[in-house]
Amino acid sequence: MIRFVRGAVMTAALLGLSLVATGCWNRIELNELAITSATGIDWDGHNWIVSYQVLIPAAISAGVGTTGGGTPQSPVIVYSTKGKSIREAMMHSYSESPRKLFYAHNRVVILSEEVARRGFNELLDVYFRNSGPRETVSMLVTPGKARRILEQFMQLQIIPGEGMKDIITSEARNSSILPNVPVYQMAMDLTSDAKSGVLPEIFISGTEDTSTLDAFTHTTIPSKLKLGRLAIMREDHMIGWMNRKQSLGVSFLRNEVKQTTIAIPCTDEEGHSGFDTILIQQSSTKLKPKLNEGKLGYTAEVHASGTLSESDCAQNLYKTSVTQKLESSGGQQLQAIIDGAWKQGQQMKTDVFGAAEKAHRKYPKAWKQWSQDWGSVFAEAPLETKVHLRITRMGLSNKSFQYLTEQGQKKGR
Amino acid sequence: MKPEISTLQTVAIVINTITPTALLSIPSVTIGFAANDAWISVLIAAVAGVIIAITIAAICKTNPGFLFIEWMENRFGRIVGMVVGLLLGVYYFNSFCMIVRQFANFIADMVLDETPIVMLIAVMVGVAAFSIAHGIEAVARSAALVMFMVILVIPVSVGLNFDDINLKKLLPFFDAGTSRIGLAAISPIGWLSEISILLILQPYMKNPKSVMKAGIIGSLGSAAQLLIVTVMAVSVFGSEVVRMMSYPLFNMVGIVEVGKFLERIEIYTVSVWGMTMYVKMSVFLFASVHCITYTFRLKSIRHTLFSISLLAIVTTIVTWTRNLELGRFVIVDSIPFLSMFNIILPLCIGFCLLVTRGNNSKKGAQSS
Repeated sequence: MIRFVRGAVMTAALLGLSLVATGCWNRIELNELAITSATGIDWDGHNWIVSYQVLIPAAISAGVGTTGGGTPQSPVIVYSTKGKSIREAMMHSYSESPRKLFYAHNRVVILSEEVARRGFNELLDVYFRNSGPRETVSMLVTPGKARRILEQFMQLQIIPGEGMKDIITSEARNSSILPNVPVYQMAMDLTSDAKSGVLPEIFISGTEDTSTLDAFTHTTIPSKLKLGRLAIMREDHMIGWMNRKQSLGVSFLRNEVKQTTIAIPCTDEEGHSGFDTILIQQSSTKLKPKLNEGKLGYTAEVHASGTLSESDCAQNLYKTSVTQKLESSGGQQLQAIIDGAWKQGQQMKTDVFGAAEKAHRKYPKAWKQWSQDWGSVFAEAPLETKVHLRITRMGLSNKSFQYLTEQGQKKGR
Repeated sequence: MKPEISTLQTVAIVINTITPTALLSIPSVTIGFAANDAWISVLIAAVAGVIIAITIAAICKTNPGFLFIEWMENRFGRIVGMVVGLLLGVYYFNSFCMIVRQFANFIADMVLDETPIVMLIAVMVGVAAFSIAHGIEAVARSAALVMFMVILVIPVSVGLNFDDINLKKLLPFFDAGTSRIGLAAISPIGWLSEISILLILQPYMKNPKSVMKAGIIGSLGSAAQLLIVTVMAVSVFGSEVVRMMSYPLFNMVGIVEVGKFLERIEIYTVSVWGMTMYVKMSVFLFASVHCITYTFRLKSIRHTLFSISLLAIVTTIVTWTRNLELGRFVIVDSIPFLSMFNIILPLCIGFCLLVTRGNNSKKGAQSS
């Protein structure tokens, strides 16, 4: 009898518990969340203006611009809030959004140039202090208002925030001019020995906005989001831009080149001039400090190899001498790109190449003195560049088409 | 019937007793002091840890087979036995509360930020108490299982972070200066000294003679984990950014992005680490209950367990109202606290054992 009562009580308790203790203290359903795909940060002189690009799940699942059955709905909505601090601004979103903002799927954070020039330590703090936003979010700078970038639609990608992240990662992988800089990388760069870092630029190419779905009824859209120059940061704020050529040089010196394409001017025997194009598929750079009579200098040794992807000069590529000439002029071109970037960095007194760390590692004693005024030490340090370019493959044809046509002309004469 | 645990299980318990909380604070503390030389500090601590382990194991070996408190009473008399038992009981109780709070804070920070901390603490203490109610064997078996999971997870995390690891960040060596490297070694030594749990575990071992082996392997295994995490933290993030991270271990896994399909995987590391944390809590609660029960010669372990658990819940809730207070406590105040009970007290016991060696051999012969 006692056993039976005990069993019954236990069963009741179990059933009761399974109702009460479901493992959740509170829960947030998916349809109570406003998922942000991109965040924009602006500064109006006194306040932070934080903009959010929020997904509208129903519109995305329906597919944009679907014909038939109602008007097409925008897949995202953009709005901004203002506050004395970033988190205060975010708090004000509760007064206007029916759903709670959710940052875990945020892909990019756009800083306006104004914010970048003012400094954005607050933003880095927010990312490291709170568990919601992720440190792998990519950072981008825009010359205008960050909010305007969020308002643009994108071709092929329904969610513009996701699209921007795709553009920057694909760019970094395939042309290596601009790096993809996640928040943690920025924090590491700004606290490193050189206390400087870089950010890619995103801008609106074209005068009009592509902020309505109507634009997609045409085969061309009035404007596009595009990656541009390289923003240079020192200490905690932006000090200037580098152009795309210098930016490629920075990538080489930082050893971040995965794949890129360079066009090398060439002339053939006939005096015809054109370009040979090399797809560099592998590259590694060793930046080494050295002391020359007590003065700091650097050597950069680049080992690159690639494929000839286009040839516009009449050359017989079977000849070793031709290939060697091609390699040496390609090497010179790379050397010029790298030296250009180094000079620009020295002019800005900003070491975005990681040179400070290398000096610190190799000459820890001298570093104590250099670190007092690294900017000036760096600005005086000469760079010696050695490029070893190897064209491993000529592609599927061994003679340029130009060569064939010129040969044909010679025969015809 | 005396429960028995194998040597491997002892190693597992030792490792899971030392590393879970140490992994949280060691990277920040050592890197804070010694920057990129933090790994040297951990190595120094590892050597010290092995020496401590050997000392403790040597003391254990002189135990003719009694439970720890009984042994103390037999050897030095009722009063000394009670004092030692009470001191250790209180020490393990305090540490238990500290560990629970640390874990609860972590869970609240990382995932369940809206759940009242009371709930988290109650559940954690409940789970620990539940496993102890099944005896030390249950804890030992789960410790062994958890250790295998850790052994699986570590290479996976290293592999996933492989792209981000840059060992050159460890250069130049000895840049921080000897005094800072030495300072940074104190905290890991404190954590590694928790190996003194062997004093209480050893009588439960199937083969008490192998306590030396278990101690050394356990101590080395724990030090190796600390070393891996410290080296990874420096080589992934450099020595500056780590200082502002509360949980660098999880930031490292957090930045893993393999293509577009493998990211945000720190939750797996967190879950495995969470399991080790439960083992640690169980071990400390067990030690506390054990000491207090035998000191006061209480009849029912279960009733002691129940009341100590309740007391622990209350203590944990009211002692540290701010996370920061606990953080300071863990980093600064825990060092004298840990070394007092894990190094000085066992040393005193060892010293007394040496002094009274002559008259004990008779006593031991009588009682055994």
